[in-house]
Amino acid sequence: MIKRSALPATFTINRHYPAKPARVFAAWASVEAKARWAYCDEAWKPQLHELDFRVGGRERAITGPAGGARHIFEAVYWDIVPGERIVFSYDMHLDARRISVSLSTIEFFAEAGGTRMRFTEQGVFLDGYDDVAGREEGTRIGLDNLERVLREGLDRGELDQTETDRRRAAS
Amino acid sequence: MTDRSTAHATFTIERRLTVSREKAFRAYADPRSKARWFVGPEGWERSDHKLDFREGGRESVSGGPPGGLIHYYNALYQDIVPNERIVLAYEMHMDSTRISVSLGTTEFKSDGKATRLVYTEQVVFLDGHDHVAAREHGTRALFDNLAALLEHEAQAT
Amino acid sequence: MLNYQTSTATPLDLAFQALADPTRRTMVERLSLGPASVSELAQPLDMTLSAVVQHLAVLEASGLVRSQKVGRVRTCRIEPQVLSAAERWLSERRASWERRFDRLGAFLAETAEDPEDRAAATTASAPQATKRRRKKK
Repeated sequence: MIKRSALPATFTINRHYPAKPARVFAAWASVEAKARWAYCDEAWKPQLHELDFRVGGRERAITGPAGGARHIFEAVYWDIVPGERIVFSYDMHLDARRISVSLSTIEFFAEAGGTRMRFTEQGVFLDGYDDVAGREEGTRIGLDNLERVLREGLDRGELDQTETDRRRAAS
Repeated sequence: MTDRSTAHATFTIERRLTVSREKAFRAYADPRSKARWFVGPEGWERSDHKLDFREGGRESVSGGPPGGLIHYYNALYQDIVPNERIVLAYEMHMDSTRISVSLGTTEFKSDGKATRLVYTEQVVFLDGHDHVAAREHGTRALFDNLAALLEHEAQAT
Repeated sequence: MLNYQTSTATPLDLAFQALADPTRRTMVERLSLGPASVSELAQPLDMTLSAVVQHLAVLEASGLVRSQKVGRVRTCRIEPQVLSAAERWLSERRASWERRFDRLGAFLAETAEDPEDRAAATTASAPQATKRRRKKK
């Protein structure tokens, strides 16, 4: 029996990019561009990613670690002002379980040197997602992240192989 | 050239309804019941209320004072837990201008034989149409309508 | 209800500020797998030990991390109880977007076609690109 709860929360993230607003906006507007940055974890290959970028259009993405839970993102676009603003609602499922519903507002402001991108998420977090399965998932994500950090370290030549093996063995 | 801006706000309204959660929830789920309390102020003209009450379903209705601005409501149901919770996203237009997009969460909590309704709205107002006080006031008026309808139904049975 | 648009820094604001930095996120990810000494945390990070210690101080001030010195070894661990379950989710959700916005920055830098954009991209330092050196094997 799931213990029902709904926690509303809002947060804002500001980022500065040395690119014109139109280009930052464009990075949100196509599947090809989003595939380069928009998945929760770089290492998760998407099983599906569809995007119909228009007011009333939908987006759907299924990602997740190999052999692990499916992370399902489904969005509807409510407001699009080209180069300036995007408003979409989305929900997240972990397999069959909905864990949140959110409203996201992205604004693009021209600034000297490029763009300030302001991201506001007004979300509702559902059903006390802190049961054992959730924690296990979190641990798995942590391990996946460690793998990625190690791999990136190897790629950058900052860690030699023996160090990587020792760390893998220790985890 | 429209001056672009946004204003984000959150408000919560709690209301005690003197009926069970099942009856309160039905007033949301049944299209005919919903159309009776989900109305604007007296004197407003109104279009047909359309409701497809299921996850992924849509709801729409428009209304306004005769000869005045038309308020258009268009919603998408995101999460429905029968007798417990409804989460939807909706937009408001005044004539052809989108003035806001919102997330509305309605929780039905038992309070003895009665129900405590907890409604939280998280709204982004667009381009200067920043009317959170009016939105909250209008929402409270809807709950007045709901409470009156439920009382009336309870007495009639 | 949690709202982060207040002017005074709540404990949660401190936690988010802590998580807004990619180095600190890396440290927190490492600690989520188990405790570590300061030198273990510092090992994969290409920065001075004093820079690592500064990051650690921010994490401790936020309440996310606790450290204890036994002899000459300072051991750090995550404080999961500090954040309630819901707040933890919120942190994770926010951190998830922060990571994606890091990658967005890298994507924009990689795809700069306008010479002005490209010049700006090479002089601006993306957060995770600071002071990276290739170690010679």
